[in-house]
Amino acid sequence: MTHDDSGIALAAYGLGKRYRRGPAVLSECTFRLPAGRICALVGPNGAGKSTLLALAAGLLAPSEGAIEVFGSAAGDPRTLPSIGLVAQERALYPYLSVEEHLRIGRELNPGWNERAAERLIGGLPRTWPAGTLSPGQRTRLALALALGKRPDLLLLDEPMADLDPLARHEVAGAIMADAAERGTTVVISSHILAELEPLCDHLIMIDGGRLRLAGGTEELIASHDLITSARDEDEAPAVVLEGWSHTVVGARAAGRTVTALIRPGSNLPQDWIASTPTLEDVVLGYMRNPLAPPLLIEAQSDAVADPIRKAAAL
Amino acid sequence: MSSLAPTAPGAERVPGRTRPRLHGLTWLVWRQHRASFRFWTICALLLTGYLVYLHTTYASYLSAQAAGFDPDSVAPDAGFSVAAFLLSIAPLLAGASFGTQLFEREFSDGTFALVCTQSVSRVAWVRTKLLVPALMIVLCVAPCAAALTWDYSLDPHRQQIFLGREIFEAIGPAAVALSLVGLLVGAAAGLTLWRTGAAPVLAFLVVLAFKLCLWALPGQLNQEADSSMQTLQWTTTGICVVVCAGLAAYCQRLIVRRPS
Repeated sequence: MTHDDSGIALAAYGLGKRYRRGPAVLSECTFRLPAGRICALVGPNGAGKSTLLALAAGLLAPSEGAIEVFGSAAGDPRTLPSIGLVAQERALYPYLSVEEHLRIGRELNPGWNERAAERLIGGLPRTWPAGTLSPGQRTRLALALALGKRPDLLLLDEPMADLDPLARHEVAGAIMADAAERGTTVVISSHILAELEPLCDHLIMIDGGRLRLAGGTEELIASHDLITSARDEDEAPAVVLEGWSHTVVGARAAGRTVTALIRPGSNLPQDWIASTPTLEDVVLGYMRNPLAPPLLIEAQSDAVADPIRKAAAL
Repeated sequence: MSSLAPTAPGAERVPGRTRPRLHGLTWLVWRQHRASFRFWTICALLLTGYLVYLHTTYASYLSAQAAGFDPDSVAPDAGFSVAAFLLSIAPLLAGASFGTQLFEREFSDGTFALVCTQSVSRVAWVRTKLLVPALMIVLCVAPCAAALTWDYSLDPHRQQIFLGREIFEAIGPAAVALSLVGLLVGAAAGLTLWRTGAAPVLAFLVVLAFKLCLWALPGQLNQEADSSMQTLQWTTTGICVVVCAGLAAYCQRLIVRRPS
């Protein structure tokens, strides 16, 4: 396909999805993901992560708004060669063998790369039907089909969920090597941020179908402070922080100490100590407080990430 | 022949590479429904062979009658009736057992998402998914229907005995066209009712109802069957082709618009 020259791999504009007779699964999501980024898509169970990935892959049609892949509407047949999807269900033909699945990849994708698929297949028995594979083996096969296609946008729905620690390391290595080699944009969903934090340089957080956080991980961390102070034991954290000009994302008390995640607005009072939060601190802060105002940092399309740096960090 | 004899380009045959290989979606659809294709092929070969055998037997009977041997013997018609019955229920089988499988498992196994994220359009997929089995049905039913027609036309006297819808729907182009309608009704039912598991029942009932509706066509079979038969055969075939086109369009529309 011909990519547009905006440098944006995935963009959503007022995106919403509502299933028939059901509540809205996603609503009013607007973000732009620059090409070449490794993006963690996080949120609690049922947040709408899988729905967002299915919308990006063109498997679902938006109920409102629009979602674009490299400048074309998601689902446009021209975008298909650019997208690789590993769905949460690891959809495979149960009666077709591993080898026959690889043949599906070869037959239906002009840009198929056997070597990229081989990296993930490893020692899987080629003649075994997919229905007899373990969940981890199915994940490897599904990933092989997605990576062998050589997509420019790789959408992975909970790819590490069924893998043992060693397999996680191997799979993450293969994904990052592909991203380093080709500048692939990767969106990885998970509700466990710790397994994504070392890999990603961009984050999208959804909760209750709404976008809560979006932006580069460094920018998101830099926009927050983790502050600590002493308090009277009978004083609630909210009372301590009352009247501040800072945006308080969340506060927790432990013994005589109160810790808060804030978006700094002016100088802190003297009795507070500020430190840099981890990405997990930031995400957990927003998850704990559904009323915290969302933070959407407009991604710079020219700030293409350096996946080689990430691959080296593994 | 000298080993240095000139060989036409491409004429050289490499051992093990002489079998034609299917590619792309055609291969995938063939591989998915290989068991059904094999079942239909075996049934068609057996039935066609049986009809050829019946033809030979009946020809011998007619020769014996013409020569005046054993004038009181009974015509060997039992096998013919059985073969005609089997062909007349082919549309029901094509719908309830074969057609419904085409899309039903894609959705229940979730493999629709796998196909739809490869580099092929949904339109190409749904067309191949319908065309390959349709071609298979034509290749299986046409020889049987041709053999039955050949057998049926052997004796004008026989045409007057077996004058009914059961025979009419089992011979000529109408037999093939009705089987195609069965296949597409099954495909559409599987696509619509894949969650409920009721698709085979619905397909069976719809094909049966369609066959009954055709009975109401003007130009009922009568004693002037020879003249009306061909007209009615092609009229039925035409109606079936239109219905097939409508059902194929319905399937395509549903697949293109369907969220997975």
